[in-house]
Amino acid sequence: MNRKDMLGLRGVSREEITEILDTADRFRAVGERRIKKVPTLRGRTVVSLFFENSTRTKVSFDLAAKRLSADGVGISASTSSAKKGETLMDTARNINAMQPDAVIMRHSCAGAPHMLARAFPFSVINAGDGINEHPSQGLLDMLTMRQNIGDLEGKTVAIVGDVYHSRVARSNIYGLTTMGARVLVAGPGTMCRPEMDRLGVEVRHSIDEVLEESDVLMMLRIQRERLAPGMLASSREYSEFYGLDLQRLARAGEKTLVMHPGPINRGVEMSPDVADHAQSVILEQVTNGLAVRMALLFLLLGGEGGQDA
Amino acid sequence: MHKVFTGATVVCPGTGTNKVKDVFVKDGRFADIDDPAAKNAERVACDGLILAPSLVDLNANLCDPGYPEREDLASGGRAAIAGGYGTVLVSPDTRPVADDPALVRDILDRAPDATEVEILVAGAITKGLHGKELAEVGLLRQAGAAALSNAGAQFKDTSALRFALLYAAPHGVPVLLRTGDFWLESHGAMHEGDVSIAIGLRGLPAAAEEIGTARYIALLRQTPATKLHITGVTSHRSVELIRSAKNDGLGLTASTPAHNLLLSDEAVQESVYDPNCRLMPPLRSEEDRLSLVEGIRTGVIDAVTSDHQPLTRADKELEFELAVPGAVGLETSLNVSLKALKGDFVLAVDALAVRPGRLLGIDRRVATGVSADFLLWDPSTEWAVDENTLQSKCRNTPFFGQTFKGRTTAVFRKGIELRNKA
Amino acid sequence: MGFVMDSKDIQRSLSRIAQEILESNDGAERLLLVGIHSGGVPIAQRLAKLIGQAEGEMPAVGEMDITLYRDDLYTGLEKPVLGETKLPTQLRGVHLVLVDDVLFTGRTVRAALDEVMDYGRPARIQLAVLIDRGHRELPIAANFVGRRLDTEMGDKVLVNAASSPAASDNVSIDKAEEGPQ
Repeated sequence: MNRKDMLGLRGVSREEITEILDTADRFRAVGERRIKKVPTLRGRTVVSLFFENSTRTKVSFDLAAKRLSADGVGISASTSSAKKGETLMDTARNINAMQPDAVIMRHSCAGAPHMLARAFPFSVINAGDGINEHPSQGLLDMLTMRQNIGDLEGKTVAIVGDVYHSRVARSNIYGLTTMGARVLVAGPGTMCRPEMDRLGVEVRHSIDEVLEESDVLMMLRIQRERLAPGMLASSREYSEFYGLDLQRLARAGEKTLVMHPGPINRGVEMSPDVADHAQSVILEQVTNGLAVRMALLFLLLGGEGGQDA
Repeated sequence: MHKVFTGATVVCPGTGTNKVKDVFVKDGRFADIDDPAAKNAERVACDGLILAPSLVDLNANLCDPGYPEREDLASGGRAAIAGGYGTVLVSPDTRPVADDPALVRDILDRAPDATEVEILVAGAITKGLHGKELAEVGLLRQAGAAALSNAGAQFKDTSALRFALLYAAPHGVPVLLRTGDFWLESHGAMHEGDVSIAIGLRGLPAAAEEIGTARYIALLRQTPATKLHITGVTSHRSVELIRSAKNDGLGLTASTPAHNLLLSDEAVQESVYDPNCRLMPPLRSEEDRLSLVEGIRTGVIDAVTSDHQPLTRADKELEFELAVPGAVGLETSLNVSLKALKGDFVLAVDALAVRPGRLLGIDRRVATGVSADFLLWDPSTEWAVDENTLQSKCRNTPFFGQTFKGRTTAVFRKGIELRNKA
Repeated sequence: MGFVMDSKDIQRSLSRIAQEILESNDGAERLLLVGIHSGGVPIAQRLAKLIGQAEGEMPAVGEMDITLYRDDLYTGLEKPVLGETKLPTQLRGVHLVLVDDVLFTGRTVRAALDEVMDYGRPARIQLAVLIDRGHRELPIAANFVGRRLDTEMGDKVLVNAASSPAASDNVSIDKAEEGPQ
């Protein structure tokens, strides 16, 4: 992989994705040791710049940096204070003055990490930009799938929920289609529009239409705070037509994986017993998230000319 | 002062002229080349240049009064001259909004000291441009407003819109309204289409424009005397509606911004979220773009506007969806239009000078007796759009860094070359 | 540019090293041979088989990829491919013998030592190499050496050894270009 930044999975080749996933496998092994740390990025500085609240992704990236022996610093800022005060570019200039090696950024505007990547020499990892992409999530999801169902080529993955407004969905769609998987999407009409087929997916209209064909069921979180009024009437309306319960899981089959990017709205996207079911690999996703993020940091930052061993 | 301009290719859509000929200007007007006074007139060699009517812009925001960091009449005037414009109708979207006769008078009074370009003022048709309460239309006109406009703001209340059209009709001035729909346009940052889906930006559906255009046309049918001019046409659906309305005999006119003739929504993707591509109305699909070019050709779309909107770095150096939409356009509109119209200079002049001029009662022809308002254009010179060439105070253009072929070398008004003031 | 060692030479050296390892560790009981990627892996396997033949029982074998511990990560040309490190979880009481094909600057071994420490605390760590070519940049020495070679800095020592004895096994030196460029 020969890039400065990881901004999205759109346009990332099959070879690169494979390289990242293979590297992530190695880093999972580090997580299974007594000392879960390697000196590889010792002395490097990784700044995480989160304009949107996030516990799991932020912790995951911070821990990934630490396990590589890098020095991690976190900055949490809300977009609205940036609007009233310092602009994004000014914040970035200030950070750049401290010469970080990488900045991990989550922001509510699509294209914000791209702006920084273009203007500054540090590597930028997109931890989520608006409704555009969340590449490390797409990668960890693919790694989890690969571990459980093998080569992704020819497999069928269904993404259920607010696909139109989901950066997790977009990154998965780009990554999975590149790896040769077949992607189905299903959700309410306001969140799963027919034009999404331009992304190379098949659009369906309820979860029942995807159950039997799918090797993987990826359930997305219904983010009430993101929805404009009028997009969804109620949670129970949603779970009736798009929620995953034991009955539906049985129809999907015992080999079908259940995934969710978290945090789960128990009872909305899935019933509690599905969340805890053996077929759910949600916690594996978290473990893999750490490994994928270590792999990304390693591949983007590991490297300086040197001498022979 | 008498001058004979020799050797230029005269392009005048109004007289159907497109050939090399000498042009005699006498006392500020075009005169017959056989006029005896021509013999002793000073000769100005224009070999290799094009002589055409100077451009008339129906929509430019010169931000004066109120936004001095963005533009003022002087810098706007410089940009206009650089772009070949002899007349600019300025938008009322100033601070305060030009909804009061005193403000209209103020701009008209200050303009001649700031620039030699002819500055006309569009008064705000509603107070504060809020689309609710009528402004004092009659008094604005009396103060010298050449037109009325609601700038880029949409009427939420259709009933208020109807009253505005009804009230304006007897005053006989053009009413410039941008097409669109307030509610459908409140969440998007770019055209809703394949590109917005691919790069994760909320979109502005073409339906918003179609609804806006249909609404105007429907109301116009009830108030056919209003000289309604729809600005900001960017969707092929609007073009279809306008064509159909004109076929029905409705006296409406329409214009499209120059940028939309040349760029499509792909520019947002290719530039990787460059905020200079954030425009309102937005850049739409390639299909839309082609329909606009065709519309100019057939005359369904009467004019091309510059939609000049200067914005500072503080306005633009932001995340795409937070950046203020708009681009400077006076200096590039002719180049951009020429490129989009595949070099058809006659059509470009028709769309940027003759037809918009007609709307304001201005005669832009190179013909005996007509006021000598023209530009000289060097088709062979290349110029890069950059820090050094732009005359506007601002640099927000999607064409920054690009090179264009052909450039205005001079603009004349009443036979006198326009110079920049201080 | 002939062979410095042929397949017979290699087998003899490895047999001797196997015996030395057994002698130094009082047998194979607590032994763990760890081949350093990538050249050390087949050597470790060879040594394990030789020890197995001598003692009747094969010692434990592991392998180690030191990429994450290197002090130079990329040499700028090759892409770092992370290999797998296979070590048992418990290293207490183990007599760990690091095995590599060529000992040169010593930096690989330094990285390997750091990595072993992050896995656990063996009772002792020793180093066995087929070739010691000199030019140490760190104070590192091998406990068991197959052959010492005199080389120039720019030379390349190429070891071609499979995990089982083969007639094609050999060690050769690719001499650095001579004369001015």
